[in-house]
Amino acid sequence: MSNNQLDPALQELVAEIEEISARVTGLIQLSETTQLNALQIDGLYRDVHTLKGSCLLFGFHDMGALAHELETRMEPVRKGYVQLKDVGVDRLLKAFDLFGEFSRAHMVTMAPEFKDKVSQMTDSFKNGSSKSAGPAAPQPAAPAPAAPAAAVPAPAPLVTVTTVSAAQNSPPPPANDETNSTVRVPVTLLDNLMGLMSEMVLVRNQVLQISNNSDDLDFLNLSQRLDVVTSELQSEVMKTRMQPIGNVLTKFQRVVRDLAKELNKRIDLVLEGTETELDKSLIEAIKDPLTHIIRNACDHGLETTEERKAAGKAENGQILVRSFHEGGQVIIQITDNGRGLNGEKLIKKALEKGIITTEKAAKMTDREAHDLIFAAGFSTAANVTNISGRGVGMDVVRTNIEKIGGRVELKSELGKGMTLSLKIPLTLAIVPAMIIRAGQEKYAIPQVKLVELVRVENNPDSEGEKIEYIQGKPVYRLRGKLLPLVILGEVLNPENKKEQSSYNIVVLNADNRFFGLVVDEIHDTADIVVKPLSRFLKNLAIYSGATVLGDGSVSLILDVIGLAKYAQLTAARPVEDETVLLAREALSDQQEFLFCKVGAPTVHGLPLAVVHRLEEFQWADIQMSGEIPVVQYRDQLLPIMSIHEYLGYGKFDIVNLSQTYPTCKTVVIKKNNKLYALQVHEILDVISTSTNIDDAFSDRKGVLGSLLNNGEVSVIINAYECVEHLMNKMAPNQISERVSDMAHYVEEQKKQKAKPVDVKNVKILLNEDSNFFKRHLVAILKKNNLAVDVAVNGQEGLDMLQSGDYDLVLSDIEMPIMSGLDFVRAARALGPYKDMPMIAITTKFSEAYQAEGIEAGFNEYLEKIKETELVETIFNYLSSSTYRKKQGSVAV
Amino acid sequence: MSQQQEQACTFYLEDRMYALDVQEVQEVTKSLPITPIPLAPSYVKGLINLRGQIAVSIDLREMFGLPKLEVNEFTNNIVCRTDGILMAFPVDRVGEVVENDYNLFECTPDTVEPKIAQFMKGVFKSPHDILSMLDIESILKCLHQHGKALGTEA
Repeated sequence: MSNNQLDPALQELVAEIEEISARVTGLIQLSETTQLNALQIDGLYRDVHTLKGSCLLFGFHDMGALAHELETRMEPVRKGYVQLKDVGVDRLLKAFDLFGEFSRAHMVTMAPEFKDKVSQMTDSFKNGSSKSAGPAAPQPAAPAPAAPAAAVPAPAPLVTVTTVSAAQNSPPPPANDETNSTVRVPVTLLDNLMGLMSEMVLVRNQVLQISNNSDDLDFLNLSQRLDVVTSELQSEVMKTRMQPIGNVLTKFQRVVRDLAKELNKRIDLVLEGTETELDKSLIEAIKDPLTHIIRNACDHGLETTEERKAAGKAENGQILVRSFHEGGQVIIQITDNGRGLNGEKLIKKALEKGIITTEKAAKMTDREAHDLIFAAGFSTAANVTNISGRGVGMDVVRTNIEKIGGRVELKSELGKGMTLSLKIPLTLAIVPAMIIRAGQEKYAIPQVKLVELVRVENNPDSEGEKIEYIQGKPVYRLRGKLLPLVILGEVLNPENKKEQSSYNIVVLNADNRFFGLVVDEIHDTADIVVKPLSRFLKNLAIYSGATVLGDGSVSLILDVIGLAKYAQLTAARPVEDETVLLAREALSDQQEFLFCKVGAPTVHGLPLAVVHRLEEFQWADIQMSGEIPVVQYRDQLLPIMSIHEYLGYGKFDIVNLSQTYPTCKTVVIKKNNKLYALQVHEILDVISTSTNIDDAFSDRKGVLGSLLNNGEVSVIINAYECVEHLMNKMAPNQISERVSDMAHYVEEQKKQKAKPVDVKNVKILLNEDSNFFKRHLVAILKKNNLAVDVAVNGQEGLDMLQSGDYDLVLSDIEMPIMSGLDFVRAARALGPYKDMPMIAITTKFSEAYQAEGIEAGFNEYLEKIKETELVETIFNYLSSSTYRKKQGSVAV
Repeated sequence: MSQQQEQACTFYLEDRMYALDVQEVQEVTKSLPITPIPLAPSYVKGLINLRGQIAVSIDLREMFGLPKLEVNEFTNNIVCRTDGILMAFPVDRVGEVVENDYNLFECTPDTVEPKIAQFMKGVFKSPHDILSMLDIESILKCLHQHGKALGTEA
């Protein structure tokens, strides 16, 4: 037995001992706080008995003897003469530790010291046994399997059978319900199954691709069935490798218990969602990081009992470990209610250790300071204890979690505690990826690394979005922050440099450093099976593997971190966390306006949020289509409307204008997926201001209101209304509809006047992330005496919905963190809000979107900045709604 | 080499006959679509989907310093699996499988260019031709050696 390759039968024994130790340890600990029931005691006894039988069978007499003594001590407990507690919980635990140690050493080497420890332990139980009241002699149940085994030391093949039968021979009636229906299978077999399954998924994908192009109905049906069956099979096969996370978590009961004793603290460990399942290999991979986090929480996070008392907290510190599924990931949250992270202390420490510079320290936000604990070589514990604080801490945790494609997030509140969230993918074998093209080839990018996609129409002359260069390196201003760009085509083929008219930027997160990867085309997302590259290509760090796509072609998988290193991006400073950026944006009261001259004395402004692009055309290129001036633009006709004319300042006179202005400048607005150009005389500037629009004369056609900026008054144009006017001009038959709409509305208004909605108690919830629209909509609602609360994203909206009492929800669709669609789905799923009127208001307006919105659960899907329609709809719903809010009701 | 007979799969590169031990050859395939690997050494032609398995296409011509030939639809691949690595060698033409008698085996003559000689086990003097027996192990060894330098170039 000296070889490293363990006999399969021995492997079984190792597995069995581990299983039993875990189960028994759990029960023993439970016995400290609660009284075990007869069934549990029986199970315990049975387990110890099995342990004894197995050990003796394999000829491990020392361990067998220990198990025998344990069994003897357990006997009176089973008979109910003695409480398990009285046998000595600590002693029992230590004894089972020996079994653990024994199995971990794979029983190959029985060091003399270990033998001594075992025999000491055995003696301690033997000597103490006189204390017990019941008969000390082992009961006849035991010897049966043990006797023949003792005679035969280690006959390998025979053993497998006997081990099983030994387990089955143990007292049957209150049988452990699960043992009978389970089969133990080697992990390698499951691995093979997974591999084959992945292959099958690929074949399925290829079949589907062919069947989609085929007219053969039978084939189509068959391939669809194949699709369904394969998907089901895949999820079942995945399940075979799944293990409840409790297998790891329950071990921490012990860790925490021991630590608490050592540190002289009182700590409760609460486990939630222990049944959450995760791939076996992932469970193994998170074991160490989790141990570290929990040790950290015990050692640094939680205060001593005295400190807690002084802070007015409960004496017992609590560590809560919650695990649950969310969005195809498993999330493990470790929360302690200890002292939380102290940003200042962290910064001070980081400065001392030279991890950050003084300038950087001065600029750090709390959140950034908290993230310092993930920096390499960082440890704040003043005293390095043997529990944690050896400086190889959280950075290793983060690295390990990221290695398996997961993420670590941290939230902390000083004095209240902190929460670490580990987000782990369900499985490693199949990963969701984004397929992109560069040059002739397609590449896959794992989606965990993907932050967002940005498309930039590059027009070097325009003031708007464009690619800029710093020292020859391309960058893009993403929401005001410089995003370094890597042009994939150039990385892969350095000679291939070309100017592009538009850029597809895939924003990637490489170890919290963001960069934009410029690709030629963005395809689909796909679940890919990662195959490693041949070893001799391993050093090409920009690839992490290859995969076979649905069409049968092979694609390389890009390694985001390798790519960043290759492009020498790692030296770049980390971009702030996305959520911080978003939060800042949402918090700032700034709105941006594009100021221009329209041939009137006053400066006119357009909210930048509605501007799609700025374009300049040659006057000669403008032609008249009927009464509407149009220009060729990207293979289509772009209708132009003069703001000058629309606002009544005079006719749009091309000849005259062309003498004063060299080109025709336009602001392009996108509406219903179509582009419209608003002609202006001159484009002045983009101004960011925090002043509100004064809507005192917003009743004027095409005007939203006026704005006072640096002492000058400017008129803010309602771009959408202008475009609508232009649309009506282009399709006259729609005007009549609109007119009848208006007539209808007037009727409705009258009705409403006759039967007014009592708006006194009405409260509306508005989900809107854009500052501009937020103000605009709030103003409209206020004008109509409707009270409104604003949430800046779907998640916040959902929280507010549940905490407040609202009569109606208005929601934007495109929002960070949680979109309007997800919001309405989640809200509808919550019982009480099933019938609540919820109206989508958006600029993303087309029939397809509308259908999607209605399907998601919105009652109505409206366009932003259509004031009359919006108000009408709101009142309609308020007066007809059957929804009753929690407190009070809408008086009709 | 207790066996007296050994089968070898023959193929042609630039009108010269080479052979690989049949034991090492998994199959011969017709030309398959290749996904190039940018930044890889030029003799690595790319990746091939071999019924769901991914094989690396290695151009022996380039390794041997022979003139380049564009891979076309008639190019056959000899697929070998060694050390867990699936390799496809595009060849000009696949020859027969021949039985070789070990009595006819001889070491590579010294005059053979070292660039090619380093990949040869030796030669078989068959009645009509002289076969250059290639050594897949040394090809792989060379690939690994070059591979080690890959990351450091950039």
